[in-house]
Amino acid sequence: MPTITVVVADSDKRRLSACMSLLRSTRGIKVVATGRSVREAVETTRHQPQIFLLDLKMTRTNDAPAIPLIRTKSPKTQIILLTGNASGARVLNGIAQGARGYLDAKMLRRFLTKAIRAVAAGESWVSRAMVGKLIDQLARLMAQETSPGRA
Amino acid sequence: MVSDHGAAQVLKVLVASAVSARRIEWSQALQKVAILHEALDRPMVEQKLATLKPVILLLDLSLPDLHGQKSFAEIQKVSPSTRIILLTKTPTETEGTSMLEAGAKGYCSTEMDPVLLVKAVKMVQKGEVWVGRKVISHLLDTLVSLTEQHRNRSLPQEDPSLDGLTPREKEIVQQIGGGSSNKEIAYHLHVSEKTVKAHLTSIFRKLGVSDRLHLALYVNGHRPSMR
Repeated sequence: MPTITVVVADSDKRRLSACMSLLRSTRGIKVVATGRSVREAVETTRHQPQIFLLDLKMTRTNDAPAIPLIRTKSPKTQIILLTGNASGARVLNGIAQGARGYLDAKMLRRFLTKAIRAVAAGESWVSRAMVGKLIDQLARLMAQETSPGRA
Repeated sequence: MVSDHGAAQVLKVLVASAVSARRIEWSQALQKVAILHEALDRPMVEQKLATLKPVILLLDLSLPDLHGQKSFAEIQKVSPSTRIILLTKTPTETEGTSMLEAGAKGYCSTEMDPVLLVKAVKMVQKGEVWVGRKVISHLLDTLVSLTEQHRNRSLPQEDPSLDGLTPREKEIVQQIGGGSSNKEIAYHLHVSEKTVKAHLTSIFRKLGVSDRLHLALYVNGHRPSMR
């Protein structure tokens, strides 16, 4: 199985190093770059990593829109958000912008490598509760559609 | 009127399939956790939904006279409080997404392991949704593309009044219309904020607006009607 390349971009120094130490010893996963700011994060896209672990705080709209930028600069990269005790709305917004999953800081030890492997394989990493919210959001958008093409 | 309190409620499940083997399998799987009722065709489904108001309906999509989202909505209407789990022999991501969007609370394979079926029923009873991973991924894709479409809709792509602008300036106008800041635009276009400001000055002059707020209003007021 080929190695999964990962970038970790996190403004939280402790969480960044926690991710690093969890991934360092993991076979089949290689961290190719890290970043501490949005600018650094966007620069790391030159590595075209398969997986981008991104601090949710870096996706704030009053700053640069990190998710669309990363997706534009590195279209094959899949983004997983690192969330603190983040509000569901912001995670939802991140997913609507194209992130493929999210992980609470408390879940890193248990699920980080699992989530990376799942998302790299084309799956997503979201909780059931979040799936419900995604469906609601989808239904809202659909309802606003005029959609003449759909029966 | 029975109270809605989940704890005190008897879990009434209506199992609907024209295939008797499936009804038997699902009923056996659920007999310890639910009071079961069965239906063999669509009229019976609707009649039992109306009288029993089950908490959950397990509905086999191979039941005759079921036609996609529309039939689903009609059945849901008979008992709006009933949470519907759809089962199909050939689950697809697109059908799953469209059924969830229509209000289904579950979408899975008729071949599903009975242990999982029990889990699915319990999850849906709790108010959660039960779908396969592939459907979730497709759901995300759909959500992302719809969100993008939505955003683009408010952009003035074919507005003739923007004809005097250079392609770069048009890009910037679109982003202003979408609510981006100079900093965001600079990031997006890989130029400095200063360059963005210079472009903006030129845009203001060409369109005869005084500032970015007026530009945003101008742009959104000239939204092209979609189709």
